[in-house]
Amino acid sequence: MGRTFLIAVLAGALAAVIGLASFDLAGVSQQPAQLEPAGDAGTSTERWMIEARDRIAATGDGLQPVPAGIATLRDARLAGLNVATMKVRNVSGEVVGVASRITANEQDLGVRAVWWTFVMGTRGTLAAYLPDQAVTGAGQLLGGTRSFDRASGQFSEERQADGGYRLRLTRMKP
Amino acid sequence: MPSTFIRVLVAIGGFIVGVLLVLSGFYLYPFPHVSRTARVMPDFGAGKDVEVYALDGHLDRPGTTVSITQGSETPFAPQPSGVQLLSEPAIHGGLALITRLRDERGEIVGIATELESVHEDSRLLTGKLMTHTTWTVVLPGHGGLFLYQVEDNWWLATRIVGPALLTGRPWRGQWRNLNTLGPLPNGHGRIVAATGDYAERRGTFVETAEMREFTPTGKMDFTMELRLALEPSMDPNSTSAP
Repeated sequence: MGRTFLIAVLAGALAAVIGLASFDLAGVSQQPAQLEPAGDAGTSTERWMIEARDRIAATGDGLQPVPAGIATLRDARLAGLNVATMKVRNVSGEVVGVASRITANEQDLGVRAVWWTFVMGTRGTLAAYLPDQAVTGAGQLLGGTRSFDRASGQFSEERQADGGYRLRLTRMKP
Repeated sequence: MPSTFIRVLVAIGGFIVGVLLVLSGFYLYPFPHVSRTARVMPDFGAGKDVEVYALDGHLDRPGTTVSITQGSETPFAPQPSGVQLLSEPAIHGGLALITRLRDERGEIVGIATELESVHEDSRLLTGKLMTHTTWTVVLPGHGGLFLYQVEDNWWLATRIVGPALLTGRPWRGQWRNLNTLGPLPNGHGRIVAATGDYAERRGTFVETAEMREFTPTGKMDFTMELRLALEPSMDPNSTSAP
């Protein structure tokens, strides 16, 4: 009887270890890049889009509040600033990441800059920046992690009438 | 027949004992990374310009948090009411947060977003529940920072959030923790990019947290800090923000 108990204990322990080892905490789904056919030598272009329904949260100067009850930014230092978090889709319409967009005065010069951050799952993080919101298409890629490590090149946003965005990034090949 | 029946019962009991022994062993095992707060924090910022920005949440009054959501209604209560979840498969394990930031005097000086995606190396066997975490910090009039870290939430999940959700009773206490687990060799997170006053600054950062209460409904009384350690500026005209 004692031997049965001991064997059962070992079997239970082994089953627990196997269970712990095989439990998939990440559940990561790979989302490969959808690059456009090569244009200029030494660059690669990718387009992402954000639809109006992809806005997770938005508040601040000039933005429609999402959701309706979100806190407003009344602090004096945040005057004129707005911020949003959004889902990001590839050109096939699949949600492949999340993004944030912050608009504020970079320095006390009255010029409104835009900071975009994209977290694209296993592909990594990408940082983009428009030094002057008023100059359309004059953005740049500032860097990133993993597949976006040291990313450089051009970035542009095109605001849609419904509040969505069309985004274009042209990376310099390392 | 009775002997066979008893033998089966003994086998089932032994199996359960074996499972529980392993699970409790992993629960109690002192994984080395869990003690990183005491190893990393004493030297953080030595010889550097340190800037600290804080965010907080409370049960009885508004905090700095503007919005938070993740793949489901738990563990953190989505805020504000009606904010959509990250329900799509590619982002389900992530988190998206907007918060105002306080300086060391408690004044609101900036805005930040935290975007997370689940880390593919998370393993119960190694006691690591990790995320890829990106902070975007904008301090109007001064500039912006893109900060990346690997974050581990093993202790938070197993000692605070898990027990509160399983028992239906709030956790109360005072738990201080270094959330950052790299990716830099010294355990710090890295500055991916920066603009404005920070454009030419080099440095690292960490995220720390103090949890005071966590309820089964996912509401929290907490303070978190982003601590920047910047190489001293070479520009005598540069302004220390903010």
